[in-house]
Amino acid sequence: MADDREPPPLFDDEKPDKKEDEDDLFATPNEAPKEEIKDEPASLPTEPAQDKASEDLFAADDDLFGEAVKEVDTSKLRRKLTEDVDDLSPPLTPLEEPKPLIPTPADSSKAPPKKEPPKEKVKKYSQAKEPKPLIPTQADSSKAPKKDASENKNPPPKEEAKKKEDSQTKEAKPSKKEPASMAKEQPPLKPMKVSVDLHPPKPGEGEEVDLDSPETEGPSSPAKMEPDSDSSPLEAPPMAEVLPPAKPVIEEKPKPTPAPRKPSMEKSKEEVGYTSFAQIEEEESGDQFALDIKVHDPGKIGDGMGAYMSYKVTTQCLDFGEEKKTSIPAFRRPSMTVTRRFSDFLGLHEKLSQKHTHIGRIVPPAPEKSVVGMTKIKMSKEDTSSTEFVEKRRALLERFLQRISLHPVLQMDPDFRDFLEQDELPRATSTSAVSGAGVLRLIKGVGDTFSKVTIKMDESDQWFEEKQNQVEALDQQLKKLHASVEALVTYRKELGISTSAFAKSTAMLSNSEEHTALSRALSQLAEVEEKIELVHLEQADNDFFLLSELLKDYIGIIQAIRVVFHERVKSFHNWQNAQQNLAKKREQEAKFKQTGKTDKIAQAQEEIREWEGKVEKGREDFEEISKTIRTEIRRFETNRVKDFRNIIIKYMETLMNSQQQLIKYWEGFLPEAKAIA
Amino acid sequence: MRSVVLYRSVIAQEGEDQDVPSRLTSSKMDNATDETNTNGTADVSDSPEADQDTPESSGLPEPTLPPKPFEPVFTVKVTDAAKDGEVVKYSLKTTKIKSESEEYKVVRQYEDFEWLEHCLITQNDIGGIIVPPLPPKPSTTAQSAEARSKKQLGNKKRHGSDDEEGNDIKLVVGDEFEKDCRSLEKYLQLVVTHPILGQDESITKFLTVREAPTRAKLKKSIFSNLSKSLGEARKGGHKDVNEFFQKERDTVNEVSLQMKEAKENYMKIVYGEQRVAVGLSHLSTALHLGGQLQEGADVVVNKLFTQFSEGLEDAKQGLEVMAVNDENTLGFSLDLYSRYLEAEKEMLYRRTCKMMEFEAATKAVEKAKPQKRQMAEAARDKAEKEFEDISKAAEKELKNFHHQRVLTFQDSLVRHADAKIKAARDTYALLTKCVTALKTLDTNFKPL
Repeated sequence: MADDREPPPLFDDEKPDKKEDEDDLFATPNEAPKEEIKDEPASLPTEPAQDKASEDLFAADDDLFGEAVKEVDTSKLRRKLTEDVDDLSPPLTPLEEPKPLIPTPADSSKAPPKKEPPKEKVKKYSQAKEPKPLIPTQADSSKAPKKDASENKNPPPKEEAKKKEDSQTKEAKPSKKEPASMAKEQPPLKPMKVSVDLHPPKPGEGEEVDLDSPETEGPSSPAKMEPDSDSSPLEAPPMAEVLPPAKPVIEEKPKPTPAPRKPSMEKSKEEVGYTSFAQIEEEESGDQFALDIKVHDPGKIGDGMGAYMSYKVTTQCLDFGEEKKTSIPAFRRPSMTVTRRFSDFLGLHEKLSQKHTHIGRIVPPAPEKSVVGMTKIKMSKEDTSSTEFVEKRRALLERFLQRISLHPVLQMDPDFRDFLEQDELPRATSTSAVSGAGVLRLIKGVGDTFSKVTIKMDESDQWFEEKQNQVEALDQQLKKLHASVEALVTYRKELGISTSAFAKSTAMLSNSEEHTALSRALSQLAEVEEKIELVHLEQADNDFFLLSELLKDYIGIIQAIRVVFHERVKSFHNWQNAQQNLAKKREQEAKFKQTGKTDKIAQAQEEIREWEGKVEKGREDFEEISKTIRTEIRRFETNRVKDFRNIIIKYMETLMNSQQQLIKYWEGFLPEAKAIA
Repeated sequence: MRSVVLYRSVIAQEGEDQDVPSRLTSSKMDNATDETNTNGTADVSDSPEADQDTPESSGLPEPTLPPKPFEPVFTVKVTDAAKDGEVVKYSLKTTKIKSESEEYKVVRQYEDFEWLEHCLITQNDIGGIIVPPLPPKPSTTAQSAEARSKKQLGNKKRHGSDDEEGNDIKLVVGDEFEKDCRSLEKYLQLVVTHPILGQDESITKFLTVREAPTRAKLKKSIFSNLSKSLGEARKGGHKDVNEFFQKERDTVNEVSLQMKEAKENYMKIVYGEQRVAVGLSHLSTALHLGGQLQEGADVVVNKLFTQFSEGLEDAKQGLEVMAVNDENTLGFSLDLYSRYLEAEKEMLYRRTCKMMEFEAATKAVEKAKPQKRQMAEAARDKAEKEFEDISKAAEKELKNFHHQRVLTFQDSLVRHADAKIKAARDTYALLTKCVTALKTLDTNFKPL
């Protein structure tokens, strides 16, 4: 139970960040720091912050906060990061936006102004928004300060409480958007918080769509949203009941993202983190949320260059209605079907990798955009090559979703849930190959490869060194196998074509044959050969869809693993940087002491403390990511064995089936041949 | 290992299959001979020259020849072929049917076969005879072998999938004379069992005399071929007086083209099967190559791969067996008859020429001046006689030919289907074994 829940909140937290950022843009500077700071400890790993640093280049320099220097630094970075994130993938879950997190003295004072900006927003988008459970704003402001105070003192035991409060406030804050009067009427709905956490709020999406991508097909209608809000209260009670025993869940939140600057807190969180890892592993061992996901009915929508393919995604919750319902944030319906276009899939992948890659999770690769294939579809009507292309892609997309659904953490991701569940999805803006975001992505990609070359790391961990080599070797092997299978597919198709040609020749021979029996036998032969052609083609399909695609998938996953390894190196690098800086600061301090510049010593010590925190954080991040990667790799290995075994057996069975068909056809033909004379 | 053993059994069966053709064909030829006899007598009476040429015609007066079946004197086997420098030498084993003890072993090369064909054509009146076609000269040079390999296994560049495969290709199809042996053997059998050609002296010499006949270089000018085909094109459209022949000519023109096409397409299937087999074998090799990592999941995956590659190897061998069988059964017949039909066409062409000569002679008689009329009439009578002779001979030959053709095709179709079933069953059994092994394979592993 606890396991199940733990991951989603993390993600939720992150998203809110993004949203907050947006809000910030509209809102007063004060509000932002408070929210962000609070959120971050819970959700954002420090790495991203470092990432952001690199992204600073692209980010605008906004000076929104007039707070303590250190805080401004990180918050800026974060904001930039999240802005980038927003560019790439519009946040889907506005719900929990404002979360009081790490207390800053300023928070309490800032809280009040906060309310206003959201309200403005509400005015803008209120139509798109869904009526949500609202919590009186006063409660919010009062709570926030309390937490701040308590957190300032850093008493670990209180963390739980704080977090609970946090989650409450999270929910509460979205409510601010709504008129206060409404909010007051609905206080009883508070228990929903848990369910809300788990189920990313859909209502917000429409709103966000408006913000992020004006091209979206349109804000989701309030009518559509309502069912969600109706259903969520229903689910909420069980969740609430579950809550008390679920303490671990709450504790886990901090684990992935330990508070940046507070070593004392970090330690406690670290411990928590360890347990959570154990839990994750438990999850892997069995208790998973089984989803049966099918992608079907590909259809072309529109004409000309604006045309795109849409797919239906049908999800079946296999264990829906069982006890799991209580322990797992089940979907609202046992089965649901949504329509998605290709870029939505890419958007999903983008969002997932934004959230998970940097903390060491292997996000299954999404199929690549194929300009050639799509252009063909756009230009031509119905030809075999394009239907083949569509079918291949459909299968790819299906496997992509299935892989995510098999991942214990990713399957809980609110974005993934939304993807499966929401009728309307904000359109992914950043996936287009030619858009500005695409260019940005490209630049970032170049930067990444560049840093891959430049950042070197002396591998101290033998396990990682071995794994890295192993993964490279595996990559080589799979690529080779893939080439072989591709050749095999081609050969088989050629064989099918030849067989069909021979069937035609035989039919002609049979026509001009004067000997009646021989003529009949020949025409039978033609029929048999036609059937055999189908056997060959079917087998070619099996070669392709079973073997070739499996290998291709795994080649893609290996790429994802590489990225994750690289993230680890980056993390290591950050840690080392922090250490170097710390050393410098210490030197400086020593100098000051020597030279007797007492006035500067205090500041230097302050800096040293700050850097000590950063070093600690860096180390922790690094350990964290290493740990996650180990878990992920273990999962990968287990799945690899499972996948390959299953596919190989399946493939061999198709071979057997082919042989059986051959036997059948030829046995049918034999008496015909014997009857000739 | 087990799978290898099993595979041998497949090969063994397949080997039998290869033996079967010769046995079957010979027995079938015997059958065919039964029919031949009736013609045989007639033919002999029609062609006295042939009689003179054949010392073995036992000097019986033609009219008294009862419907006694023509009995071929020999059975022939091409047992082996070996490359001696540039020249491929074929070992022939001939047995006299009447006295099994008389066995001849001679060594011949392709040029000797050409000479034999030349003798048969020139020393017999082949007007109404469908002369068995001599198989085309096997290619023995390196370039041609490479070209053949390319044709069979496909040009790698076209698929552009694996660089390494390009190198392997050249090695894949080595010198194989088996097919040539079968073709030549079939040719000899057709000659030996032919009621007229079978009595020819030169074939007897060819089969029994140890020293090869003097190899006179035969000059086959492209010119003669060209003029022949031109003539065929010109006279091919000439209307026939006889409906039977007219129809036969029409059909053969059509069918010979179709037969060629069918043969081409069929060979494409065989090549296709070989290519898929190569593809499977590459994949299987690639699976094996992965087996160097010895840790964690790799151990299990490698075990899976090894088993899988064995399974693929089985599938590949099954396909190879199928390809060989295909080529030896239906492929062989299609190949033979795509050539044999050409021979039929030639025979019909010869007859058409006679017919035109006769028609011309008839016209000449009408136009002839009284004093030359007698000569013209004599010429016309001669032409008529020749035409009638050739028509008679041709009719019987055709009847025989078609009967034989149907039998051959029946035989090859039956064997084809049989071989397919057998190979598919064996492959299926092997695959089943492999799947069972895969399913029971212990996939537990200790993560690192």
